[in-house]
Amino acid sequence: MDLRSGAQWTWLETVIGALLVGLAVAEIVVSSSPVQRAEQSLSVDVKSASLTDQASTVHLAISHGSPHQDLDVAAFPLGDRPIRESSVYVYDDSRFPAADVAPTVPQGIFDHLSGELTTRQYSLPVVAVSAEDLAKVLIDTASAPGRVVVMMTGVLPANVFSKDADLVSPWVQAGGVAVWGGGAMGFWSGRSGRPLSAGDALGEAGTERLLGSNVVQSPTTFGREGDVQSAFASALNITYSFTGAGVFLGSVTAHGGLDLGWDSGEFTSVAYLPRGSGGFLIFGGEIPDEASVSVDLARILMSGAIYGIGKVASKHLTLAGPASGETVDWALPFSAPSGGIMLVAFDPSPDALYFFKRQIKP
Amino acid sequence: MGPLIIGLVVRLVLAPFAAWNNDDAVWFHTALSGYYGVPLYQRPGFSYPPVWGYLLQIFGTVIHFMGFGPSFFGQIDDGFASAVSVTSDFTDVVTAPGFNLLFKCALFAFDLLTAVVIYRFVNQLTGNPKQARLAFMAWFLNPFVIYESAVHGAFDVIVGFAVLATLVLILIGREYWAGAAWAIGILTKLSPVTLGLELVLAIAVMENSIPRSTRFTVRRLGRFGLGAGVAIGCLAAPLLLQGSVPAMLHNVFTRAQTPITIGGMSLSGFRYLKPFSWLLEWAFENSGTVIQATTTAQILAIALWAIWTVIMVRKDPVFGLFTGSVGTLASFMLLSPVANPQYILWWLPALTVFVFASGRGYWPFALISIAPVVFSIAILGPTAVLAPLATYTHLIPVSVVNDQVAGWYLAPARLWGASLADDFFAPASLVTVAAIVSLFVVWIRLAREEFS
Repeated sequence: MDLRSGAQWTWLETVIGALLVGLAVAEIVVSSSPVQRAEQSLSVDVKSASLTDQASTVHLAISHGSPHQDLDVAAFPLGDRPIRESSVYVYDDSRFPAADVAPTVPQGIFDHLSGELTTRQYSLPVVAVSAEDLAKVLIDTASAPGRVVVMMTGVLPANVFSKDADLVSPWVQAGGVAVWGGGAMGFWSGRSGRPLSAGDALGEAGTERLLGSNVVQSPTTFGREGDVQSAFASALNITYSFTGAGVFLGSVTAHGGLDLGWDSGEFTSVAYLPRGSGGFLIFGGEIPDEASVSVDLARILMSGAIYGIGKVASKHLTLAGPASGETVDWALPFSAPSGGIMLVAFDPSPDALYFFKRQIKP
Repeated sequence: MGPLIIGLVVRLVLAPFAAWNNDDAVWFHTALSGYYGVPLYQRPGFSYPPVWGYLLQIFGTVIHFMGFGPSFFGQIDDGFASAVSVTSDFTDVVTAPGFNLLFKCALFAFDLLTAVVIYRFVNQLTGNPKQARLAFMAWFLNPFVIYESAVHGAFDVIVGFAVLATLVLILIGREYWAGAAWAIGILTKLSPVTLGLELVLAIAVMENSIPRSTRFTVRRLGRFGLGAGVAIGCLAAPLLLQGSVPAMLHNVFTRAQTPITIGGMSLSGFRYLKPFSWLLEWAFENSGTVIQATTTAQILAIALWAIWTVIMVRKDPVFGLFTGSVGTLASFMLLSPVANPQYILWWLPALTVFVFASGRGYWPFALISIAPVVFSIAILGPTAVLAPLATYTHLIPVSVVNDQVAGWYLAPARLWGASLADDFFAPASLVTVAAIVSLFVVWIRLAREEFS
C-alpha cells in the first residue's frame, strides 16, 4: 500500500505547527514583563507612623488587583543590633553523609531556598558550598557579620566540626548566623565518602560544645511535633513543627532568644539563639520536606525576625473584591524601642511572591 | 459519535473531584508560578522538560487575568496530615475541581487527537472503517487511558500522541513534521529520545529500493533533523529569553539523582512477591550498580530494536516502524529500575494502531489496558484519589480518606506480597510484563510467517 496517497494528513501537520508556535508565543507572553507586572500588582506602603513611648500606630496604604485576596501583616520591636540583609551560603556536599533528613534535602534546601529568595528579589547572593568551601567561609570570621550559613544535612562535616575542630563557634561569635536542621546540632561529625558509623557520633557532648548545656534534649525524640503556634510562627506563617531535637523554651528565654516555631510542652520547633555577635537558628528535628522548610526560612531571613526582641503583633487582612486601594490603621500593642519597629507584609497564599519589609524608627 | 460522547462524559464526570495529588500538587505549583509571573524553573518542583509546564503556566496566567484568586487552584488540607506522614506518595495539597477540570481538559484534547489519528491511520491501513472505529474505541474508551487522564492527571498522553504522530508522519513521507512531533515528545518527557537511533535508521533504509536513494535519503534525514531542530528551538526560545536554560537542566537532570527504588511496571516488579521483597532495600543500597546495569541493558535493547527495525522496515514499513518503536519504548520501560504505570501511555497509541491494523495481539492489549489500573489504584487504595471530593464537597469525610489511605499503606499482606498493596502490585506488574513479552513473541512469529 502506498501510504503517501489517499488520506490527507495536513491537519496533523497543522496541529503540530500550531502547538509549537502557540506554546512558544504564549509562554513568551506569559513571562514578559508587562504580564508579570500586572500579576504582581499587590503593594503595601507605610503612609505614616506614630511611635511614642506609650503606643505605636501605623497607617498602611494597600493597593491590589482583584485576584489578591489575603494579606498578612506583622510588626515586631527591634533590638539595637544593626539589621543587614545577609549573603546566604548553603552547605551541600554529596560526598558527605546526611542524617535525619530526606534524601533530597541537602541539595533541595539550596534549590528551594535560592528559588524562594530569588523570586522575591533578595538582593544578596545565595550560594551552594562544599565542605571545603564551608570551611573557608567559617574561617573568615572578619566577614561573618552579614553572612548566613545554612546546614540542613543533620551532619556537620568533620573538617568543620569534630572532636578536635570547631570552626562554627568562633564564626558565630564573630557575627555569623548558622542555620541548622536535622536532629541535634553537633551530634554527628561526618567524613567524606564514608557512611555514618558509631565513631562519627560526638553525641550530646558535641551538641553541648556548640550550643551549651540544657539547650537541646538528648536523646532526640523523632516524630514529635509541636501543636501550639508561637506568636512569631503565627505572624510569619511558619509551618515547620518538628520538635524532636527542639530547643528548650527555658533556654531560649535564658539566652535572650526567640521562639519562632511550634511548641510541644517545653520545646520549640524553631528557635533563634543569639551567641556573641551572631546566633544559631535551629530547626529542631528531622527535615522530611525541604520545600516548606525553605519557605519558612526565607520568611525568617527576609523579615529580619532574628533581630526582634520577643514581642510581635500580627493581623490578617481580607482584601476587598475588585481592584482597589485600601488604608489600614493599626494600633500596635507595644511601644517602639530605640531600634524601632519592623513592619512586614506578605501574601500568605501558597507560592505567592509579595513580600514587604520596612524598618520604622521613632 | 456514541463512543466519543461516552468517552468525553466519563472523563468530564471523573475529572473535577478525583486527583492523584502527589503529581497534581506539582501541576498546582506550576500553574501558580504562571499565576504569579514566576519563570517555569525559577523555583524547583517541576522536574520535566518544558512543554507541560508551559501549558500549566498559560492556564495560571489566564486564571489570574480572569480575576480568580489563588484558591482557584487548590488548597492545603491539614486533614490529610497523618496520611502524608505515613506514606511517601500523598500530599496535603488538594487541587480544586475547577483547576482539575481545566488542566485535565488539555489532556482530554490529546486523548481525542490521538484517537482521531488512530482512527484515520487504521482506516487508511485496513480500508475498513469498522476496524478503525474499534481501534478508536479501544483507545478512547480504554479504562487505563481514562484513568490516567481523568483521574490521575498524568500528561504522558502528550508523549503518546507525539510518538504516534512521529511514526505516522514518517510513514507518509512528511519527515520535517515528524521531526517536529518527535521533538515535542522529547520536550515533554525525554523518553522519545530513545527512538532516535531507530527513527534515523528507519528513514535511511525505508526508501532504498528507489535508485536515487542516497541523495534522497540524506534529504529525508535532513528534513527530519531540521524539523526536530526548529521545534526544539521554538520550544526552548522562552527559556532562552528568560535565561532559564541552566535552571531547566538542573531541575530535569540533577535533581532527579537520588537513591533509587525498584518496581512498578518493570521487570523488577517481581520484588513485590514476598520472597523477593529484600530486593527493594538491596537496590536502594546499591543504587550505582543498579543504575549501571539497567542503563546498559536499556542501551542494548535500544540497539537491538533498531536492528529489528532496519530489517523489518524494508519488508513492511508499518510493521517495522511500529513494532520497533513500541518495542523500544516498552523495553526501555521494562528495563527501568522503576516504571510508573503511566509510562505505558508513551507507546499505547502506537500499539493500538498496530494491534487493530494487524488483527494480532488483542489479548495482551486487553491485559495492558486493565492491569496498570489495578496497580495504580493499589498504590494508596481506592479512596486516595478522592481527596478533592472530600475536601470540596464533604460527600466523603476528609478523615475517612485520610484514615483509609494510611490504613491501606500500613495494611499487612493477605496473599503473596510483603504488604496489602504488594498483593495487588505483584499480579498487575507481572501480568503487564507477561503481556508485553507475549506481544514481542507475536511479532516475531508474525515476521516469520509473513517475511520468511
